[in-house]
Amino acid sequence: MSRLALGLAVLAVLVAVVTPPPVSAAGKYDGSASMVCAVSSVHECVATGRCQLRTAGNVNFPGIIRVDIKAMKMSDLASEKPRESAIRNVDHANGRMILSGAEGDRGWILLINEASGAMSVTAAGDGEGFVMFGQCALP
Amino acid sequence: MLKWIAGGAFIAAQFVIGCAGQGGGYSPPSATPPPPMATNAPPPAYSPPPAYAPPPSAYSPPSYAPAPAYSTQPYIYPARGQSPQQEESDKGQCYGWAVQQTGFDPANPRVAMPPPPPGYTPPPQQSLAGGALEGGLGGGALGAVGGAIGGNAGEGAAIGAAVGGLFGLMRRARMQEEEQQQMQQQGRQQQAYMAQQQNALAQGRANYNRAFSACMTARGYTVN
Repeated sequence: MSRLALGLAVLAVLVAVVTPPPVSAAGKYDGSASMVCAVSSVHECVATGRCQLRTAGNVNFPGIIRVDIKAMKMSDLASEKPRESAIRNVDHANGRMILSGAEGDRGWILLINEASGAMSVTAAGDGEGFVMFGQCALP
Repeated sequence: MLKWIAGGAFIAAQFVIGCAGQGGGYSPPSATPPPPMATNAPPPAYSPPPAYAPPPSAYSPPSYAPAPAYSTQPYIYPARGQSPQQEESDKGQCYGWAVQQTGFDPANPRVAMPPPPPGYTPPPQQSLAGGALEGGLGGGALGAVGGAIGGNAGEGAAIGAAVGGLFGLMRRARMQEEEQQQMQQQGRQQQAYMAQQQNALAQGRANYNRAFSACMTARGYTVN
């Protein structure tokens, strides 16, 4: 009986050691793996305070992008056109991954909820701003 | 049997005669020429002037191109029996007078127009550096061209795209709409200006025709 209990204990230890630890919900979209993110809504705002609902195509933004933190770049997956942006900075705060960069005459911030993969993006230029929302997934 | 055939032929002949008598069939116009006009002194050998030739000596304008001018000119009949040479001379002199009076030269039709509206452009011409090279595709294309020159088109395209990137190439939809509206408005203004130009030309031509007709009428021609 004691041998059986000992065997079970050893088996439990082995299972605990061999089985990879479950991915913690908080770190699922933390950038350790590349993500594919889809834009679901776009708001275009101007300095006068007026914002209008657009689509990604309306504002010439790709509908699906790949976020690759290791390569520090984001690329367009929605079209054949090679179009990508360099990620200049990556921050993690309160379960959110915050990417930022600058491009042309615009600056941008992309925030991903590391638990849910929900994405929020802002891009600001002179007298204009774009706010986009979407969802990321792990391919 | 023979009686039946004869009867059928008789009925068919009656039918043909009946149709012709009712006037329902086509009757070609009479080939008989109309009686000659009773005029006091008809011109001996007058032919309508479809192709105008400048007068020999009486009038010699410096740049006289009558072809467009006489395409819409009224018909002229020498009511006093003027000779064709006299008629051509009168035409030439009336042409000069009408041009002087109206300021419109049908051989060189120009009208005084206000300046074109802002944004007015002459009819568009294809340009190699046009809109196709703008935007992300433009960046990629330019990069590809540069890369191709350097021997690597794919790398060049990637560089070109990276210049624009995801955010740098974003465009405000409102701005695109405004640009489209502006282009449509310019097109409408352009069309209106061209229509105004055409109207002014037509008005100038009508004035010229009136002056020319008045001159020829005063010289004893019937103008219609």
